[in-house]
Amino acid sequence: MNRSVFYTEERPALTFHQRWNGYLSIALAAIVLALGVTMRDSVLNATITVEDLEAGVRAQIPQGWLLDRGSSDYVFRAIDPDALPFKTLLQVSVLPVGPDATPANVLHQIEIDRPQRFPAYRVISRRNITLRDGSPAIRLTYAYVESERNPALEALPIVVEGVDVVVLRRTQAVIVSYREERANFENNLYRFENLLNTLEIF
Amino acid sequence: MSFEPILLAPEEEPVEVYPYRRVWQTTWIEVLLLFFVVAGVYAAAEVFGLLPRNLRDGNGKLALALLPLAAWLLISYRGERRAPEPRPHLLSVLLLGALVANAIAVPLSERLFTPDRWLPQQGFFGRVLGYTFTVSFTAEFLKYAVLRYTVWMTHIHQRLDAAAYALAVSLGFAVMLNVRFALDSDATVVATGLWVASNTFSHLATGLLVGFFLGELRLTRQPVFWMPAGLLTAAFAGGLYYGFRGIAIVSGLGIGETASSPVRGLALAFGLIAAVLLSLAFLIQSADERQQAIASRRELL
Repeated sequence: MNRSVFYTEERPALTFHQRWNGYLSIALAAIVLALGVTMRDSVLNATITVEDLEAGVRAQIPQGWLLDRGSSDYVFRAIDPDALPFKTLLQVSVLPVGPDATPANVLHQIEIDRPQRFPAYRVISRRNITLRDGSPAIRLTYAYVESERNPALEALPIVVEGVDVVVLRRTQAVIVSYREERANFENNLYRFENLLNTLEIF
Repeated sequence: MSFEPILLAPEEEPVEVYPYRRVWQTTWIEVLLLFFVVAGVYAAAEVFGLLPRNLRDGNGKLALALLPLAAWLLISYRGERRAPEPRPHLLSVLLLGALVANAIAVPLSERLFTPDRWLPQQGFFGRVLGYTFTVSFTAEFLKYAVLRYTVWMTHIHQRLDAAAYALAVSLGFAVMLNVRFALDSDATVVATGLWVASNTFSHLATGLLVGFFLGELRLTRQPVFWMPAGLLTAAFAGGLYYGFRGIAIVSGLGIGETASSPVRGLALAFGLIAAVLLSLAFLIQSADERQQAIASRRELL
């Protein structure tokens, strides 16, 4: 009797319990991994509400970020302490304006001031937008170079991209800002959009 | 006329030769070897000052990362080749473990789960559950998948076979992570050694749990949720280890002690693998004896 050189070992058939153990293990993997990703998202995207009654501003910032209210230049500033090499920044500031001011006037003032503070400052785009509550606003996207102040660290300069949204409320202009290293700008832009969507000016 | 010789001593009974490699013995030797080498490197740098504390020699780090593999090849694999009935495909299973770690587990961890970004800020239970449901479950499921869809049906004939294959796939998995850590991180040789031992011991321990559940599923009749329960148990053990490791390394009981203590992390990892090896050896031995007793009772009837 001829026998093939290649033959496979007899594989015993799976029992009902063994087969269903396999199916349920795969189903469990899908459930557990979905649960894990949900847990991760809920931690990373958790927010806290920040309110300033004097300025009349309320918004949500990411949980775990450092909150700074100790400057007259802004209402509050939230910084991601874990971000490297540039600390991601979200900021809300308020400027007093005249009754005839427009968002474009305020933006013009900002554009005069910025090149003196930020090296290699360049405007990337400027467009009119409408906020969720129907208010007209201007959105400015820009970039500049941030250098390490401590020369002993011998770090390369970083290209930072930023966005400002200017909106007017009565006699004040509210400026919502976001700054991030160029490489991570798009990845964390949703945090800025979330801040903008939860912003209440009262 | 001849006489039959009178035997003064009883006839020697033929000694039954154990035909397989003794899994627990060889594994203990490998675990102890890795433990003592890493402890020795730590003592040489931190206690006796024989090595610079901040030594970052790439070859030294790589050698430590590959030490568990070298020990396994010299002790377990060589022992297997010399046994009358060697277990086939152990090396293939080990390589598959390394491949799934590099091709699936690492990209998932680095791009999707990103545990470093959110787990350290969590409390103890958050860390345990978060790690269990992401990195730990992925690792255990991949080890399970390698074993289940390769050797499980055709090469697991006794409980110790499952343990031997589970150790092989876990070692492949752990060694791949070790090598990546040694090559990619800026850690010192001492820190790499401690990380390698901790990672290897924890993967061997959780992988053994997966192997135990797989072995029982192959050899005995188990309920349909047996393997899912086994995967969750192994993943949870990994999560608990991650949670306690943070506490062990950072916390201290001494007055004025604020610096972290990586040695406690090493001791915890060694405690985990020792506890799992002892428990499973006991469980498997009692299950085998019980099965043997039932079989002999059936023969008598």
